[in-house]
Amino acid sequence: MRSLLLRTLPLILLAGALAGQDFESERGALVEEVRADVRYTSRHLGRAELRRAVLEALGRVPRHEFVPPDLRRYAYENRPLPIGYGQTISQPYIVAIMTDLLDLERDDVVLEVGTGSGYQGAILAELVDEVYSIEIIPELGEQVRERFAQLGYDDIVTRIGDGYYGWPEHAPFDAVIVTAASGHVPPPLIEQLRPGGRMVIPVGGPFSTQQLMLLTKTANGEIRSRQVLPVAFVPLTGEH
Amino acid sequence: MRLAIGLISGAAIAYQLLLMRLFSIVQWHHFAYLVISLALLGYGASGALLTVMRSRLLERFETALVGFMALFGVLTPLCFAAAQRLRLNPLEMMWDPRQFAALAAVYLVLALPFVCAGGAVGLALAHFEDSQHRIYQADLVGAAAGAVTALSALYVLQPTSCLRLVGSAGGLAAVVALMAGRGPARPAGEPRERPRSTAWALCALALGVAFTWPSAWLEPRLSEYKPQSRALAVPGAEIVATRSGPLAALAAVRSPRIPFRIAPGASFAFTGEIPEQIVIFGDGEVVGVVDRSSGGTDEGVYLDYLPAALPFHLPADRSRVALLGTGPAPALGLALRHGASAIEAVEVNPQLPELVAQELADFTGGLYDDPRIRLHTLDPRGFLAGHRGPFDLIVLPPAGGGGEPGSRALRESYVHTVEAFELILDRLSDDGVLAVGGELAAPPRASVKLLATAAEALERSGHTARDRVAAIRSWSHFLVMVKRTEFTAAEIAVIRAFCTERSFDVAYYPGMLESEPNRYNLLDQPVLFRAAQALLGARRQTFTSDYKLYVGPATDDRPYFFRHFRWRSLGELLRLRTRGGAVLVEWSYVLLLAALVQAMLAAVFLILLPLWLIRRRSIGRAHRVGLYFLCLGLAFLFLEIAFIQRLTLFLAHPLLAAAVVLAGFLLFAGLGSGASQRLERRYPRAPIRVAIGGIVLAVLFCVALSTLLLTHSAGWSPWLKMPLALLTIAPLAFFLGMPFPLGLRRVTTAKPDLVPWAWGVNGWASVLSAVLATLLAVHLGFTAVVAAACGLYVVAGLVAPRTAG
Repeated sequence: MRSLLLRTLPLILLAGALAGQDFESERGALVEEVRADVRYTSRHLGRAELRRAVLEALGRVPRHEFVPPDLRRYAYENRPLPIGYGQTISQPYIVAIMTDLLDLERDDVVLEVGTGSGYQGAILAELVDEVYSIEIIPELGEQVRERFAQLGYDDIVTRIGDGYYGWPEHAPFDAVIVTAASGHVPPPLIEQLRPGGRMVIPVGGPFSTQQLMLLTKTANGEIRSRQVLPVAFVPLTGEH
Repeated sequence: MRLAIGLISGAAIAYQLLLMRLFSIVQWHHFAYLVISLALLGYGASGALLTVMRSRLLERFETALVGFMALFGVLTPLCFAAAQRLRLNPLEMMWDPRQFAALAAVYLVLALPFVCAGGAVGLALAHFEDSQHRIYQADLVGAAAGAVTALSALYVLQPTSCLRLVGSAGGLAAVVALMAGRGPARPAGEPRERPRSTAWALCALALGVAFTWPSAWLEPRLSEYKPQSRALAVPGAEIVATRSGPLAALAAVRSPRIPFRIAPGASFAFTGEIPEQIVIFGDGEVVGVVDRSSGGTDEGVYLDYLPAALPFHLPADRSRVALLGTGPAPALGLALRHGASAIEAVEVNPQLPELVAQELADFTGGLYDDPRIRLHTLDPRGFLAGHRGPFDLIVLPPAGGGGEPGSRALRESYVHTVEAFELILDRLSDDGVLAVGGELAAPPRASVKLLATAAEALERSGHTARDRVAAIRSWSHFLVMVKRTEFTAAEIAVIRAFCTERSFDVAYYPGMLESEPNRYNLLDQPVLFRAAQALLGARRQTFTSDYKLYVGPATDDRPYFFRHFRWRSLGELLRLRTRGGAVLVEWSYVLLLAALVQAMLAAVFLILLPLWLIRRRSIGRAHRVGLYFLCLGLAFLFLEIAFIQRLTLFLAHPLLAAAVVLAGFLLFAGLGSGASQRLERRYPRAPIRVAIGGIVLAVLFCVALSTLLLTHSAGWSPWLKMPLALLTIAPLAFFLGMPFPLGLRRVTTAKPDLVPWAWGVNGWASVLSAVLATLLAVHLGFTAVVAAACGLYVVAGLVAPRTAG
């Protein structure tokens, strides 16, 4: 009896703490925090504010539904969180910037390579009608499929498998997000990007996005890349 | 009894080395610093325990001693298994303060066996008052034997088996102590304590636990965030070959269903398929890639779309190539593909090429059997010292990327220093090229630091830097090339064409205009071009001091190429923590500082609290004793760490250097400890000052001789170098073994209650020393570490405890 009590007590306390948590107001505060953070990096982003639609999407998607239950109380802290299998749910600040860089219109078709927790996909689904997402780890892919169904993200089509070859049946894409490029952008993904389309690749470790690569495909099919630094830290000074 | 002390000391140092290895596998390399400090924290804690419980423990000396030893045996596997179950993720430290609590818990759990080992030695020192120098000698000689045995055992046994051996050595030490306790080797007139059944039971328990503890509980569990763990999470991925050694645990992973496609910085112009690859992980990080094209077949065409391919496209012949620790790909594949006829492949870890040549021979088509390749298993600096070349191309391992950002900040690299570059320039042919690449970080760090290193080396060699350097970058990687002759117009034309065809940007070449860079892969500013202009010209000093990250060149004295952290930027980065700044804080530094803070906190509990307790028994003048043993603890490790560094270059192998210096220091210090009583008889008035004078002179001798050997040892056999290295450190280590027993003897005579406390202070100072030596070396260099050690010994000489009366 005593051991049962000892085992269940933490769960009861956690449930109590979560029950008292106002996720909606926390989400609102997070949006404001991200908005303020972005102002700091406006020089690198090329704009002072994120698009209103991106911030609204951030304010609508329940991030606490995308993190493991024991970490829900941290869901609206502006930081990455572990989700298992060596993967993380990205920092909301980074998610917001990546989404903004894609410059989406409602009728755009978006491909996400690396579904992860599904949070990024859900943000995209708030902005466009068609999102295709591929996850390499079966367990994560299954989890996220159920999660999308529960949360009503029926517009997101998911698949478990190798994202290297993209999803030719639904190509061309107006925007692509690739979370596992490892120094090499898969040629099929470049091919499936519509001329004028944009691709964003976060570079760095699981808890540390170093930089964002923005690839654009010109009208004649050439690729240009731009390094976007998500931090207002300018190492060069003075005349340099 | 001395055998038992030697055994427990050997087991303790073996446990320390083993933990360093296991933590490199499970977490990251810089945990080594934490392991060193936690080992010595354990010794410090044992001093506190003995101080507080001195009389009770001495009353039951044999049982207590056997208990400490047997508990060490029991706790060794148990604590490691427990520590693995604590949820520690260092990558989250910048985000989640709870990780510091997890770190502290791991720390405390792993320190417990060291408390037992330290308790055993400290208790013996307190008990055998007349032969402390012999006990200390046994402690040091045992530790020397333990270090060599552990490093050798790691070549033939898995770390988990070694852990069992260490545990059983604790049990064996307990049995030996118990047996010795029944014999005559006891202080005269002391009543014999009957061996107790509990003591025997403890021995049996220690041996039983060591051999029967479930293997699954001891198996190192890699962090799930290490690349190897992530690769194995992919369906169908499997380990096809492994090798385990003291330098790394290697695992070759094949992923047939969702293949690896590693092509660092490949051009967008490449639209083909990458051939099947097998990735070799070392301690969970990528250390090599082999593919079916490694022999240079048509499948390897992707290699020509990498920035690393550029040197092979330059006009002059590239038939004589030296690859210094680059692993099998891509440089080896490129060299074969472009018709190099003499390839010198240098790898410090022999197990990596062995694994490729044996288990992966079918996959690679017998890569290392190619008669054009000559394999050298030694440190790149050792290879350069012994091979005069000339080479048409020398390729260095990547200077950027590789592992978590900032995780390598405290890792020495003797191949990315100014002195190494000078040596390489000397080994190049007239058209020869030094090539080194890496991941392009933002803001740029390694690439800028390479330019600074090249500029310094060229100028020291009497060349103008601005005409002899070129650099390019793809969307994610850079390549810097250095020549000892000027880049010709034909070469520059090839560089530009190579970049245009692949949508790479030229970052710098002699005579380049500011309008040229930043065409395909846009940065906010053409930062590499501007950095090159400043660093290769007259504004180097201003540029490096103004840059917010540390980009000054690494030298042999400060071989921390991967350190970019600057204290003055810390405040700004922490303010920007959630705005992308966290990633720029080099977290190996954070861990080092965490160790320092921990050591300071430990001091309060382990040093001051016991002192306060025994002060109630009116013991005065403790401060002089404390300062003396503090100085000894700090200075001994300062010198040990500094000479491992010096001899790494001489012996051309980090492991050999660690083994020779550790064993040599401890062995000769043990001999010195044994001879300390004779010194006291000969110089009864001031034996400590004589010993310290000997240390200072020996340091000068050791520095002078090692410098001489470094300059003149090119091509010498390791079998000659090893005894020479031992001879170099022998006089110094001999004198280093004296101040501790001499001081302890005086404390024993004057204030015996302070003996365990002095032991604890010494242990705690060593904790601090391991961390401080690294910080000093990073910021001021190893010469400063040696100078500081000498200064500390002088202070120790001035405050040395006096004899009673």
